[in-house]
Amino acid sequence: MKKYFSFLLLLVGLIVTLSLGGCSSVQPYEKMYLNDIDMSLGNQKIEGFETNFQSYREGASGANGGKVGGGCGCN
Amino acid sequence: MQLNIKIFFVYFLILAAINYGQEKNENSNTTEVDFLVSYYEQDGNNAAVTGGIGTEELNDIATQIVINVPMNNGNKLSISGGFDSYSSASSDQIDPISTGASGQDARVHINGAYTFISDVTNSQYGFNLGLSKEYDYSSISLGGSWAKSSEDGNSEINLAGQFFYDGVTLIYPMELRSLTTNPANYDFSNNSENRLTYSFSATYSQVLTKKLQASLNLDFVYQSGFLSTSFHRVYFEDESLSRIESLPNSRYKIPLGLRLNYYVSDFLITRLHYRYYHDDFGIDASTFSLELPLKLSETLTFSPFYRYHTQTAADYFVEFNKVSSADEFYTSDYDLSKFESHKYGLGIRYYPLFGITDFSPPLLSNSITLKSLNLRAGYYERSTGLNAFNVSLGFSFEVR
Repeated sequence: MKKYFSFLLLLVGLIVTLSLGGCSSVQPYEKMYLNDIDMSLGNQKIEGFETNFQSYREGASGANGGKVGGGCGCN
Repeated sequence: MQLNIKIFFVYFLILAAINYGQEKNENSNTTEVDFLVSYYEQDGNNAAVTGGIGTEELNDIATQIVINVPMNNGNKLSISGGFDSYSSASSDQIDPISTGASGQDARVHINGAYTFISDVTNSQYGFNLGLSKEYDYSSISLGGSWAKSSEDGNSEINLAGQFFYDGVTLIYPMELRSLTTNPANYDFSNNSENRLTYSFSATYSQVLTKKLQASLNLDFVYQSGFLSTSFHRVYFEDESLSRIESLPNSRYKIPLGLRLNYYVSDFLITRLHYRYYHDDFGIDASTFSLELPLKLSETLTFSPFYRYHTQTAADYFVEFNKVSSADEFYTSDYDLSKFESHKYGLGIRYYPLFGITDFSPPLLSNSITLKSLNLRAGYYERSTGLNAFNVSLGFSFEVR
């Protein structure tokens, strides 16, 4: 039951997020906040080491730009 | 000696790439170089090498260089390489009779990627190649990617595929290598196995407002071949001698992640990430992380972060001496057990507008600017009793 609740929460968040996409169109000259380095949707390079050790110490991996199982003796 | 040669070869290739990039890049943007170093240590009492009991003490030092070279034609060349060295108290127990320092190993890796960028079609595609080598594990990888943005740049879709061909050297626990009887019918004359990994990733990014953007990332991973670890022991209640861990020869994984970044004010940004994970080993997991970059000044940002992870156990996970040897698949690797984990930490970034300092090192005819410093430290604790600490330092350079 708990795993389905987690997935449902993710799905609801996804639907809300995508539905908000139709609300406004941001012009290039209005993207000064979005272009901030801390607004990047990916991990910083320095986070790669943490992502790596988490892929070794946990059974779950992926969906974060890190290792997914190949190329290493990780999980 | 052989490892030192490999390390110098990797760094020589990188220096050559920097020089090549400078020759090709006379009228384009600067080359970016990141040098990263990390220290990691952990301890616990559930080592898989000793059947789920015993010390998990381990420390690791890793270094990495990442070079991004914008080419004259607008395309991009990226090369990264690195070296890891670790020592592990549990690895020393693969052969507990021999005395000496804890088990040690080192890994060298190098990756190259080339991306073709088209401003006309708002799209880009690329390919990459990777090589990795450590004592008992070698890997070669090939991959490709394609990305396309909308006309207004507010949406982007990215598709990527990767293939890994791994070779595993089989190292067996010492006491099993000379068995006169072999209850599990292992073929100890077999010294190596292969492992294949196919991964496909799809990412959709969307600008929602002037201060809010999100992305959805779905991966699909399929692995086949030897997925066990040949020196992981499992102890059974009806047998005196241990067996080698036995896992199925195929596995699929489906992680789905959602990111949401919001620019609260000139002082605060919120970075949220949630991931749901499912595989056919029986593991379901949820991971939640929150990072709060705080801009203390125009040149200094503090970023406290927190991460929570929970997972169910793999169907084949068994505790020490708690299962019958009649089962086909079994592992006492606590990385595949049921647990919760917490990670707390802080990141500090220093980034003056015109950089920290300039210098001209030997071997290069151009000047280098140290643009920013990045420090990140975190403490990780798992409900199984494992604790870990990691600190990383990053130097970002521009080469002109």
